[in-house]
Amino acid sequence: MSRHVYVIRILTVFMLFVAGFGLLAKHLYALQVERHDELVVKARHKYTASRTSAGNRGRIFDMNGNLLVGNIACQDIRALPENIKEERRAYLIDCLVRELDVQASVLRQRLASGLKEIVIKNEVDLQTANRLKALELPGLRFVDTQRRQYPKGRMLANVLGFTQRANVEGHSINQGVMGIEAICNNELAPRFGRVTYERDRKGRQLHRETPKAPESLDGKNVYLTIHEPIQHIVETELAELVREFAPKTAYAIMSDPRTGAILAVAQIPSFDPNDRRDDERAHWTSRFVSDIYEPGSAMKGISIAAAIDCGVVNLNTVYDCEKGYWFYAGRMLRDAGHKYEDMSVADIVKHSSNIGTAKIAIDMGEPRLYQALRRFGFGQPTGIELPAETAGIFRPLSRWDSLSITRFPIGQGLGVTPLQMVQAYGSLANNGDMMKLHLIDRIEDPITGEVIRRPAVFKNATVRPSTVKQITAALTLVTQEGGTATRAAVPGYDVAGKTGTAQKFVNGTYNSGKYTASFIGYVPADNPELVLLIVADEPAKRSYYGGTVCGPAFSRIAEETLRYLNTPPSVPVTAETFERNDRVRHN
Amino acid sequence: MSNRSMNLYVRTPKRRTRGETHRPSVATTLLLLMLMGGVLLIALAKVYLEQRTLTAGQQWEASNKELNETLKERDNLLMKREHLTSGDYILPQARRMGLRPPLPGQIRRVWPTGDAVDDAFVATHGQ
Repeated sequence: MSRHVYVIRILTVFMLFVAGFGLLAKHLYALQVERHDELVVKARHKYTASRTSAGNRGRIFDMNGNLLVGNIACQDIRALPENIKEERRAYLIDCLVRELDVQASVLRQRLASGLKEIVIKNEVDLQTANRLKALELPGLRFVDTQRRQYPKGRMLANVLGFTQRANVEGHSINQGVMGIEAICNNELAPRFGRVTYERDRKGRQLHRETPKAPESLDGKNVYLTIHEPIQHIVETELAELVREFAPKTAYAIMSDPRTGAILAVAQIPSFDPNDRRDDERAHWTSRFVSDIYEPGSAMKGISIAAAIDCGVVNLNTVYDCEKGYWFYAGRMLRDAGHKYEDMSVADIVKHSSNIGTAKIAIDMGEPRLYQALRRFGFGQPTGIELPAETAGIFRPLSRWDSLSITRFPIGQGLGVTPLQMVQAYGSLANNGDMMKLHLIDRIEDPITGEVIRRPAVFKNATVRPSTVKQITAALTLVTQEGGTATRAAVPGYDVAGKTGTAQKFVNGTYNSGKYTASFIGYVPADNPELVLLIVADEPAKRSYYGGTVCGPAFSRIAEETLRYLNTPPSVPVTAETFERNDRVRHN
Repeated sequence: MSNRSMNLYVRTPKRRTRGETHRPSVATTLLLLMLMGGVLLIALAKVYLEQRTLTAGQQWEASNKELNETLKERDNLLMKREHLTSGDYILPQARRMGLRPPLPGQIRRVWPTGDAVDDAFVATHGQ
């Protein structure tokens, strides 16, 4: 063989090698450079796994850190029918029925449904779940979860609201539906965290580095302005009122006039947020926010304060009260229960004269009365942090008729919310400065410790301080001997307040025989610690007068609250004062 | 065969120095063995440590799980305590035990002005 042939062969082999290696190099380039990112992801997917986790929903506390809403750790129990052999199903169902109190027929139906995974029972307590785990039943899956728990039961239920389970990012978590739970849902909701880790062939986590402490994903905690002990006092006494006078609905609201902070708020009927199955849906709403009622005589305190502030009258100005009957604009206006002729403005407040108040309003004039009532916040929502607050019914001046000037100042023909009344009287108790009512004191981030406070917000001035002094003196007479609300007196303290007994407007008439009884006042009158409103809608037993129905409850609540707040008495008292007060309350 | 081609087969005498042997010395062998042993030991140690890390990680995971369970139980107990310390629970219990709120005269009020305390408010034994 010639040398030439060798060279050709060698070159051929060399070229083949070059071509082969060239192809390999090209493929290597494609793998290492062109598809690098894609393949890295694919490779990582083979040896890593990830899981998402959710933190705890934030808790709700009262002003002093007493827990009102928290979470209970529990487990959802699921079954994978494919993993349960036919011959073991009867035993499994038997165990589940015994431990979880579920119906066997329902379980059989679900197991035969053909679904990959079925729900056995949600929110099972840990002890029961552990007992089931110990039985080592096949095909069961236990999922960690939480149940929203209201440890104080019905207390404050209408304010706190409740939650419902919802699926968010593959996690079944609680979402606020009503009340503070809904309003503060964004703050309370837990966050989601994703953890990626290297895993072995069986999917177990490989610990190649120091394990990191799991990031806290808890939601923020909300602190309300409510004081739990005061709330308990208010709810207990309101329940006593309902037991005694059987109204359809009753509510009580107490606020601190200096800040507008709500100290307590109660409503009956209410509901049990831990188990709502037996309660009517109508009881879930916060009626003290959405209900409108005619305030009746309780409005006189506001109207007369406005008249004094305008300089139209003072406490000594005398009006002819027409012996209790007066025709104006073709309609009769009557004073209930008394027939006086001349009365001073102070006595008009004390005896709650409709005619006297109407005459004062006429002297004041429609525009000034309208402006004054608007300044007190009627016809506008208070802006409290609760959903579905209504603005009430307060017609614009252009829609007033000839009777409006005599009816609005005595609390007829206009609708107010309980919160508006508390806000308006709160301004009288706060030297004429109206503060925005609020329920949330602060929001705390449990991870960073950051606290966001909700400061007291000044809304506007309603009347001058000199007016406040005069109207407070007149309102104090209401709870003193000869006034319409002696039962609302509190031993040791002067109470400035006003009763309201409003006939309800039903089917086009005020003669329905249905009433709304109320009492609103602030105490101690000279340096008020609290404003308290009590409303009883359609009391059915014993009486329907505001002073009789709501006065005693006001007195008891105010007395216990002032004792709790350590407020020193403003009036010297003796044992006889207590005894006399007890007698008056129970008459 | 020419002299030139014969020269190709002439064995070149190997140069030898004093003390040189054909076989590697014992020291070199030992060094090599030690190196190999060291590498093997390091490899084994790495495997052992990795295994220990894995076991420790699994133990940590188990302990963490146990801690979480305990914390959950603690939180559940705290919730129960909150219920048991609420007024709704305590007051009926107190009433059942025969306890009642103070009657007028059983509370001693001290006036901020420093005035004398009314005798009616001074609680005495048996009141």
